[in-house]
Amino acid sequence: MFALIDCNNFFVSCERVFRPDLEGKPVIVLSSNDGCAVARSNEAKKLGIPMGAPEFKYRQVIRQNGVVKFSANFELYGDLSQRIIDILTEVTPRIEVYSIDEAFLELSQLRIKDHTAWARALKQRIWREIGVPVSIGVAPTKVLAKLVSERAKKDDRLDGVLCWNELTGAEQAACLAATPIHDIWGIGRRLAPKLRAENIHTAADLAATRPQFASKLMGVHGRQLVAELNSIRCHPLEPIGAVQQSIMRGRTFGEDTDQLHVLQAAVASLTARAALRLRREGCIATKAGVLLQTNKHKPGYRSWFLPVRFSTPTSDTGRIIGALMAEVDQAFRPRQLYHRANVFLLEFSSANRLQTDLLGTINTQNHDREQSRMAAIDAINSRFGSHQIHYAAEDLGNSWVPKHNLRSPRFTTKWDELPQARV
Amino acid sequence: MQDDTRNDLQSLASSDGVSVHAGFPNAADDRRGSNAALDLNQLLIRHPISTFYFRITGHGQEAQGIYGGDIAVIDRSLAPRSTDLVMTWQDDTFAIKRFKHADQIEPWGVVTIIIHQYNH
Repeated sequence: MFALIDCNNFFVSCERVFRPDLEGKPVIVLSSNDGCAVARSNEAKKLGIPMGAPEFKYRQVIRQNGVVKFSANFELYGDLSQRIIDILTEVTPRIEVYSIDEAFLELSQLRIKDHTAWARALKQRIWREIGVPVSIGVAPTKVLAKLVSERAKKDDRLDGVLCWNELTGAEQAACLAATPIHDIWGIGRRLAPKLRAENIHTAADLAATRPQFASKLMGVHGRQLVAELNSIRCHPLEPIGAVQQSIMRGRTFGEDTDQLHVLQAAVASLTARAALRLRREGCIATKAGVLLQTNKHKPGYRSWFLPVRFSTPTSDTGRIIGALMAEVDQAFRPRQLYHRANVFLLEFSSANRLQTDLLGTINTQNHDREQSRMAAIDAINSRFGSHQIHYAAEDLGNSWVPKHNLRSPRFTTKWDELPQARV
Repeated sequence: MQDDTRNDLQSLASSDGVSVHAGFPNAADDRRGSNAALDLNQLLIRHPISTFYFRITGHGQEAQGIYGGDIAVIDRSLAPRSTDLVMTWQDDTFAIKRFKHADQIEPWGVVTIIIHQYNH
């Protein structure tokens, strides 16, 4: 049996922990620079502000209804997310952290008599100890657990908890019939129209699809979806130990830029952050890449993907910056306006299980030195604030640094930004 | 902590930016044995998951030994008992109050410790 714990409107809920007055009010969280809504309270959803909506397009709705805006405060969200994961890990070590606001638990070893009562107690504990509301779905497969957690979130009568096995056959059928195809976990925007064209509109339709036909439409993934909807388990828990396979850090520039040094500074800084994350995971990467984009909302949209491959996998910020910078220099076009840069690290392995490549060109001495130098830099940065030691290229320009004017204080991660209490 | 950091910085500086401190990550682990130095977190923070910190403003509780600039340690996992100091949200601000069952307000959390730093 699986449980999916899904935080409701997570970023908004995090803001409300330290602003209890915003309970019941429309709130949106904007991406740090391009000002698109990345989280909306239920009240904001009801006003018709869609996910990813650029703020400027909804300025009137926002003003007329007193919608409260925040810039994303990822330190706060990350800290509260980690606390919730810590609670879940106390419940069972069999956990898969699926995203910043969702985690699966595998329950078979827990001897739970009443899954609904168990889930309610867990939901209550997270609410009391962290202050974030969650929805919990319990089911024999991950696809069904996700599906019932969505029902639990949307149907007020369920109070945020729904267990598949405690529904009658008729209730299960109704639940599948009420779930539109695009709400099924693993069916993205691309697949949904394809399925609708085949008259598959709901989870019930998909569950009744012949597996052969589903694999014709969606490959093995489709066959697995049909099975999972019929309580046959295809997707196991992918525990924390499973190595993450990519890290992305991206930023939109303060204003579109045609300056090489602005691109370089952004790429260097993003790489430093991505590589830090990589080292925290205890990993080294085989590939890295930069994605440069022009403004999607302007004519002549273009993008360039610049991949590099390392003969010796690495987590060394300097090495990765060096390799990516050479690519950026080459791809740069004068008078081209760039809008956004993303840095990717790909194909990870564990840092202490370094494999030589076929040519055997690995230099383990170099690798060890690289590792211990980066460990020292990380240790110093974590004690003195995250930017005490950095690479010179990160200093080249700062017009790309996002505007944080609507960001709430980093209440839980900075001593000089603690919430204030009156006595 | 301070000395460790200075040593780390020195070893980093003395090797032209290339640390030969191969044992660096393990040095800290070695100290977590039975001879580990005293750790205030261990003494003061019973439930790190549900513990939050607030900065005190105002002078209303000096008789209780709570001063402006102090740090209040709040544990959200505890059920408040009468006479507990609790963090409440009232009139659009956080405030520390004496808990009364009769008030019927669900407090934000229970005050477990006040950290008062003397000028030095």
